[in-house]
Amino acid sequence: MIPGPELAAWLGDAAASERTFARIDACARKWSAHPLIADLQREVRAPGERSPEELLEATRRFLDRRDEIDALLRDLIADSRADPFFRPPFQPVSTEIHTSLVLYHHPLLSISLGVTSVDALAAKKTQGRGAGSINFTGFVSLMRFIDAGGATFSFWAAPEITDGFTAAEAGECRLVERRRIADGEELVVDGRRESFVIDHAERDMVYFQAVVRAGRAPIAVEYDASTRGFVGASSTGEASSRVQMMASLLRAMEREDALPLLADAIAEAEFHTRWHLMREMLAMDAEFALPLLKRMAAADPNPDVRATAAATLTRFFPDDAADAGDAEALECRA
Amino acid sequence: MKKIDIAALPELTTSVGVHGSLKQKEVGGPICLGVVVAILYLI
Repeated sequence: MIPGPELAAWLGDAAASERTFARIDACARKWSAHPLIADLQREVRAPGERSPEELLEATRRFLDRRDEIDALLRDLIADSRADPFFRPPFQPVSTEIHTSLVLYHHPLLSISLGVTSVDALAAKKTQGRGAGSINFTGFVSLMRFIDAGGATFSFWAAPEITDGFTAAEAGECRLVERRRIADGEELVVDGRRESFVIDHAERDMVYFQAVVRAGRAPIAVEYDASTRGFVGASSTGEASSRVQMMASLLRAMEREDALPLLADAIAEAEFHTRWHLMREMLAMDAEFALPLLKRMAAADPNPDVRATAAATLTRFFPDDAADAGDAEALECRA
Repeated sequence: MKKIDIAALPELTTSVGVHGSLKQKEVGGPICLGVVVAILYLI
């Protein structure tokens, strides 16, 4: 890296960098102690389970305090003007078309302030990568537009994503409506069955966005924008993906002593993770996994997991599969 | 102890990618927030 004169001076001046970091720390402390954040935190962390609706209401109460948010943002801008090396103490999030700062984060709720660049959007749409896909995120989200950018959104619907989801039964997505978004408008999109696409914008869009993770669907699902058919799915849970990775690692490390933990994890896991854990357990100690495999083949709530477990049982434990079939038949007759 | 070769064990017909492997980018930001573990410093 070849620093410019300003950066070189800053890097060479310990006191200057200390002043910058002190400014960033002071800003972070101010935000975290502010009643705006403290009140939201209290609501989100209150004992008991939070429903998506309750978290949306907490978000609305937060966003309705615009004077306080604006005052805090004015201070942030003043700090940025006073020191070119000042960085707001918020996690930046960016994609090809969005740039945002996460103002509040909790495992159940994130609130960000973001901009969607009309130039980046136009560039993406003219790159000729086809019609693309419609994504159903599995999360409930709320957007409140400060400047809607003269944008037109298309709104889409699909069968609700549940723990019983299968590719075979994913159906198709359908266009619900296409309309222009107004400045100040609030949009709630239930990503478990609703989605939207930015069809067109006249200028950058500026908006608050809340993502509610309470009550999320186990997976996000994509549909092809041309055929409307199912394209693919991915996990919405970071923990779920980590559990899968750790289970594979334990198997690779031949840690059979972890089998009881993996068996316990199945009870709490989402459908794709349940089967991932079962595969790992069968590869570690098939006899240990067999009773769970039988139970999965007979009673797992997900049809795909049930069918795959039954096929595994038949292929690798033909005698047990026959016994399981007999027991099931006896149970039905009883 | 009977072990089954993991490669021989069937996968679900509903293939599910790991968290954050979505390719769609044109919908609004929930994906971005889902992908990035966003931690507000000091809060």
